[in-house]
Amino acid sequence: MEEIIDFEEFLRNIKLPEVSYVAVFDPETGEVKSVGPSHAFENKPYKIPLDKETAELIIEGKIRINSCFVDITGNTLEIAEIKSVFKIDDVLHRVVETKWAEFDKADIYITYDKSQNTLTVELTEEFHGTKKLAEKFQPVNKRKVIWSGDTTMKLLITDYNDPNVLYTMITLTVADLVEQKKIFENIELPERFSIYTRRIFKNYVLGDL
Amino acid sequence: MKFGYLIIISENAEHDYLQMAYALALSIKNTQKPGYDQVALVTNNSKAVSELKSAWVFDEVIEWDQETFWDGRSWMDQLTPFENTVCLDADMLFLKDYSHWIDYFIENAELYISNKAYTYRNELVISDDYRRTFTKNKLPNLYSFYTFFKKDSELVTEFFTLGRAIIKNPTEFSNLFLSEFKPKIVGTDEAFALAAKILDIQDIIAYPLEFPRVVHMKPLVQNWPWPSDKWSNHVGFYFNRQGHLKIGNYQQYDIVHYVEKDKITAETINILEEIAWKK
Repeated sequence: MEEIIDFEEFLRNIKLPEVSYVAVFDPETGEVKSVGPSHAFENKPYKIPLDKETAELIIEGKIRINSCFVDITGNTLEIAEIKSVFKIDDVLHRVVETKWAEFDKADIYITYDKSQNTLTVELTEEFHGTKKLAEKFQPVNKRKVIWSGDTTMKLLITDYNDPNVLYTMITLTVADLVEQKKIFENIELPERFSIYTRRIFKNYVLGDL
Repeated sequence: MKFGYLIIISENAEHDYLQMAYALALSIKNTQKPGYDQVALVTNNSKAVSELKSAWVFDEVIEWDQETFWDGRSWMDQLTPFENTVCLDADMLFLKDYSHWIDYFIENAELYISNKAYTYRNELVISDDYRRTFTKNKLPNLYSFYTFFKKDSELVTEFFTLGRAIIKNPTEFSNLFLSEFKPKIVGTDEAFALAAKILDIQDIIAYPLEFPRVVHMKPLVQNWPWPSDKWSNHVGFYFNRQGHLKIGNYQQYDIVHYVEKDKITAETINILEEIAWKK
């Protein structure tokens, strides 16, 4: 005989699966494109988890979605007034030498070996790369950013502090740096040069020349 | 001493004015001819100067703490150790030899205040953004960032005495003379322009000349078709090992008033020091 469920008891006891929210973002600009429950965006490659409260405020329109962007390196959602233009430093970012760096921890390390004419690019272990971070940053919490492996990085090698004078340009992908370093051979450069790049990661350094 | 540049700073929690003044002094030593490269610094912390790697770029350091921030510049006539002086803002860089301007001023002027500025693309600044007080109140368009004066001159004494009185009594002078558009702060530019107008000497101290040429990097006067909070959001600042500067893809030859205080980094200082040491 079919059991008749007490609907009121059913409602009292029902445990709905907890909804987790994500923000889907443009990997180049950090601009947030959509916010919603994670199951709705299973096929989207660029997304970060979002707390329920923030997600609901965005969905309800109390926080404007076009005021949100993802700090790609920090894996966090930031809410800010978005400016209408990119900063030049984001599209043409100079990689400073280690001795002039005003930050403690870089994300991308580039070294040039003049005797071998090789340029080596490494991602730190924080981003699943090969560059070990200094003792003071151990143990390293690996970032949860979801990368598209084919995100392209272009390095413009130029005259010292002058991107108007281009020596050469090299291209690699983020996938090239996961669990491995990328070595470019036959890169003949003068004693002094600079490297510029589109700023995908926050901090880049060039080993002292 | 016959001629020298004067830089007046005071310590500030937000910006390192000593570092900017040091960069400016190095750039003066690197580019100006002997006899035109003397620099005096007025500061409220002369001890900090002695900690610089090349403190010798300041030929004279004058400890003075009577005023803070820009108010101190209205005392330039009293503070200078030179017979003939150009008082500069600290956030500037010299990029080539401008000694011939000095020859002209010593020969022809008791007091001359720059009255034109240029964009980084070498265009004359015509925008009155930041300068509504000047246009609305018909003040002469003076920029105190480059002020030439002779020490013992009645005109100079009268002018700076009035300038100081304006800075000390901004409300009274604003109410009386700047009623069409009152500035939030009566700075040195406003005070000098108003003093020139009251004394009716603008044609004597700010007549048209092709120099001094100063690139003024306030973002809203760059003739861009968009508004901007910071010029460095739009164009880069590229200072090479030879001490040559490009802003965007424009080579700079004039004095650059870079305005954004973070432009002088440890690396920039290192470049300037190396040039100075090799000179």
